[in-house]
Amino acid sequence: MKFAYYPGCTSKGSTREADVATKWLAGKLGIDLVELVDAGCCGSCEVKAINPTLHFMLNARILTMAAEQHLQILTICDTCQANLLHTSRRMQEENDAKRSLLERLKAAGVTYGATPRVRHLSSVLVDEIGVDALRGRLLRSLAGLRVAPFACCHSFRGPGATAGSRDVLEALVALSGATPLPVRVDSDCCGFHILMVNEGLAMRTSAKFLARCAEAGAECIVTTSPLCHTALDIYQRRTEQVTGRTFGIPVLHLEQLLSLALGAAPGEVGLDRHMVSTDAVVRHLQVAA
Amino acid sequence: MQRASPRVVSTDVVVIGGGCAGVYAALKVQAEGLAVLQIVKGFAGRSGASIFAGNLQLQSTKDPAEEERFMAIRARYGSSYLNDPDYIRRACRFTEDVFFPEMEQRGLYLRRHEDGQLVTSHDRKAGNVWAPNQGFSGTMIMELLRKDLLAHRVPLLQETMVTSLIVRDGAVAGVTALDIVRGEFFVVRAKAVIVATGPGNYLATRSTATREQCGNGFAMAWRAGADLQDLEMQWFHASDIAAPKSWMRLHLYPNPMPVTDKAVQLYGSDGGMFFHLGMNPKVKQPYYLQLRYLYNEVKKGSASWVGGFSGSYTHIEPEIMENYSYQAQFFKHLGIDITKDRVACGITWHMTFGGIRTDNRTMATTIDGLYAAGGCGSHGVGSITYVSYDGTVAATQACERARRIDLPPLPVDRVEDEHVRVHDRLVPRKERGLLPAQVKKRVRAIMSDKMGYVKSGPRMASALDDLADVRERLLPAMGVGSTSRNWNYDWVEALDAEDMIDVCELTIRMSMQRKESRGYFFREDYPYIDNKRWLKHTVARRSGDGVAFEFTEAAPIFRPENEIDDFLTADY
Amino acid sequence: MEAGTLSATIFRFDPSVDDAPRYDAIEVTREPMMRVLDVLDAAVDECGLSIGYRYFCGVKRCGMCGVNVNGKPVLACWEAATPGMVIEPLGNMPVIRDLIVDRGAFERATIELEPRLVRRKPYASFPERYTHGDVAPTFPLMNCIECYVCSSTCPAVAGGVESEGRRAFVGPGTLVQVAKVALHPKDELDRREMLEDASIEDCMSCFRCEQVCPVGIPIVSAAIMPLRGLAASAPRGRARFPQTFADNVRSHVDVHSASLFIRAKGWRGALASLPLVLRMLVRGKTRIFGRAGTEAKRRVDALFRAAGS
Repeated sequence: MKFAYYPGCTSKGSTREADVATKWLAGKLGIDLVELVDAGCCGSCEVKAINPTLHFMLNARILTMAAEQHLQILTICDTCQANLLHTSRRMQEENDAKRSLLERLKAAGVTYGATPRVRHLSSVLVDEIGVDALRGRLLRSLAGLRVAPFACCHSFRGPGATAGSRDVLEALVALSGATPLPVRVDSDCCGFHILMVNEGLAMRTSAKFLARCAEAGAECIVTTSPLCHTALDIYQRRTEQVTGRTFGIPVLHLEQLLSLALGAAPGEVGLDRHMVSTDAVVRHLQVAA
Repeated sequence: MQRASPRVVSTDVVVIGGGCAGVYAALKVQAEGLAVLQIVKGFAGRSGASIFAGNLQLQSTKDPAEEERFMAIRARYGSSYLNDPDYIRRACRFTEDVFFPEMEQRGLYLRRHEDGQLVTSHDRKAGNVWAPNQGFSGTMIMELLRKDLLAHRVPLLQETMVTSLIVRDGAVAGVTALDIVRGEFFVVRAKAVIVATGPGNYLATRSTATREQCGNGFAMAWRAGADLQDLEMQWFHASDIAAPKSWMRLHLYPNPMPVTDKAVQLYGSDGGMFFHLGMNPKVKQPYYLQLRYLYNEVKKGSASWVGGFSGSYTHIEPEIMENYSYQAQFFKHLGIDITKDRVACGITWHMTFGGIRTDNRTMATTIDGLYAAGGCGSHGVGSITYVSYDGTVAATQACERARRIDLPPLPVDRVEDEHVRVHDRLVPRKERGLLPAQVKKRVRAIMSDKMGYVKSGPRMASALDDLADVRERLLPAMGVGSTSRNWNYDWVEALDAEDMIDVCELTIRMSMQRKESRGYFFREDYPYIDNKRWLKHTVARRSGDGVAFEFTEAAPIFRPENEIDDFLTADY
Repeated sequence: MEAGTLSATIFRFDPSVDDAPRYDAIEVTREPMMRVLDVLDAAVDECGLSIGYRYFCGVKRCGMCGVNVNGKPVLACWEAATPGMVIEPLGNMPVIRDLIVDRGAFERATIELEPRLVRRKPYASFPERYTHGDVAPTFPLMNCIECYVCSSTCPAVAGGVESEGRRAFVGPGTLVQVAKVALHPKDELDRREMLEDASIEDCMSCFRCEQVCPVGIPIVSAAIMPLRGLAASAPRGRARFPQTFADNVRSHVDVHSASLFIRAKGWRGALASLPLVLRMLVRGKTRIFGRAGTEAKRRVDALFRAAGS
């Protein structure tokens, strides 16, 4: 199994542990990751406001880089995933909008050919390897660990959504032995995309989810997006300050959780890089039955 | 019950109703520089018949021959010779000169093709256009008007029910009203009142009216002493969806769909098609035909009035429904594939052609200072574009009056009587008493059962008996579930129940007077169109405790050829 | 529960007489294709309950029958009735009684943002010259009936507070109404400052509004994004963030979060977050310098130019 790997800007910067854990997991499972170097930003949710054409072009270029190598794209960020997937759907239509995009890409020196498939790591794990196969490879169990899975809004809503993504996340959490808690409601959001323009609102919003986690006795939150991770981990202390509440709930990237269960040492997957201590999770690791 | 004196406010002109006629009237009064207060039982631009306008008619009035032809069609097929073609001419001109340009200026988008041509039905002479798609035009028009109304800060009270028109010495002095949210009864003094409460009346189980349209405008005018006219000329829709119940207003159009000359086809329970547009090409009014052919189906047992027959669009290209129709999503939502499936239908009671008797040049009623604009008037409007003319005319007249006279004094005893009447309805149910909504349902059931499309003297007399029973037995025991004043809809519905019984009784009496059939009005005991004796309007007038009837000649501009026509085979 | 009946639970609360809300259990005759609205009607008729609920048209035109069913905001006339459903009032709006909520704040916000077409060039005559393509940007928005189901569940509305002259986010419903005219080819009002006043930058792009819209309007893509782009073209102000972000990508290929942070928040704002930044530096979670090569920058810049930016 070989994929063009698109980690996204954040996992090359403030959440590098996600990249580290992904590579560990891929290595363990025999997934060959060919990183797309200098692929650039997917545009997040900002470029499409300024210039939707530019947004699709930035993403189309990334698709081209994978297509040239005849590889599918593997993402570890739900916003990158949504942007690339939405673009890939656009580029497979036959209409004036698509033809215009092709012309502009050409003018920018990008020859768009085939459209590669775009999948998030979680989908690849479930579809290509399978939950049972993964469970069979567990070296350690997180039985008894109460986990609140947090699916990024973009994974199940909007034009780049993937059907069933929340079920996939829950299944992957469960296979590690942990207990997924049903604490998320549909109007939750981590607030990441407004962190830099209205931090208070972002904090109050993620606080709703964090409060529910605290009430449910969640010992860990698991994310599939480094952006959600940033809001919930890096900013958790700020959220506590703004709302006057204490949470102290560690937030793991899904690839970290699975790596631990497949035998990784905490240090191998960047657990020391988190802002909220992950010791409680580590203490929960047991030898798998 | 201890009651504080009601709060009194004053204005020049009160406008009752928040549809196209009412909003046009209110904006006009304000533009004229006078004080206006618009009072809406629902919400301006969100309730009432206007939001349902599906097709808009774009009729050019510049060519006299074309105009004449159109008016002849409207006279014969739009009203069976009861309308006043001169009114139609004026309203059409206003539509072309003022309404469409103003609405487009506000941003109304009449659907265009990619090349800029207006999307119309195949027969361009019909002049149907849509904004922006079929079924949504009225909603879009009202949205633009509502925004204008609010941006102009027209004084507006919503979720407020006018309960009575205050009349003194044959002239209007104001209105009484109930603020539904706060449960406050208050009084508005005015020099003129424009009633624009609409033509739709939820007086039968299946109706195209909105929830709150319970004939209140007619009842108030009647109680105040105004003449009513032609209430018996009740329209029906043949092909509205049978289920869900709350979707009874979902209309399968017998008018040509955009870009085609096709419309709904109707099938009996035996599977045979009994209606399609081509059956009688001469007829420019398919609604009559649908009902008459449905009557035949009911007689032979392959349909009932509320079900057992179906409509289909299976013969229409799917892209047309997808691209041009607001309805398409509704069928999809129910899991109906309209390219393959038929849709179970039932008839609905649609608007009344008649209403408060008006002079269609001035919109004046038989009470000084009281005007009726739009569908609640007696001039048989049937088009959202025409009511903008009504509202403008009524407002102009009302302003002229308001400039001329002083604010009339309030007849304090009448106001107090009304205060008592309204508060007498905020009482709990007696033992085994019904909620007002339950009483209303029974009134509607009586009308459905005995005042349907097929009428007869004995059945109408029986309906009157049933209504008398409701009045004598159910009303006294009726009461609210809670006496809280906070958004108490039971209280509103208790007032509705009284209004509905009044209007239904009057409608039945007027129906019994008309000894013929015409248009949508079908009497099995008089199954012919009698142009010799009945090219007339039925006028009802208060006479002591009873009702007196008068019959006035219909406008003589166009005349049918025959003195007598068999109703079921006539084309008008 | 017998066959042929449907049970449900309905939120009841009259703040003028009740100390606290309660839930009434009902059982009504099941009807074909039953909607939530049919259940409410039946609860009054069959169960004799004086439930407060609003509707006018029953066919998705008046926009007034919004309720929450099993926690999901819907239109009662559109949503199919399901056994055991819990019916509650919409969120983000004060409850007047039972299922009736006060929409005033959203309606006022909509009017304050001038939702009417503002022409500068005089209107010529009817019919105007248009093609369908001219109004393509607003066409997806036209069927909005201002039901505010979207705003009732928007997290930015829920968490919004007014502070220091900055109003809370007006909500997606209001922004769709504004977009209807802002994207109209004949509208000529400069709406940028107004959009900043609406706190448009508070939209989290969570797509919740799109998910719940009963008319299927792609609210984020078709209304909010274009309006954010419009607001971002103002020379200064909070709503500039999308432009700041795009500039950052153009310069650095990958987002350079440190410089984005400083440009977005200003030096004072950045300094206020110094403790957080320092902690991040200590844990190796951020780098000071960008790292894209010149070739990559050239390619990305070419994309920007070809896209007309």
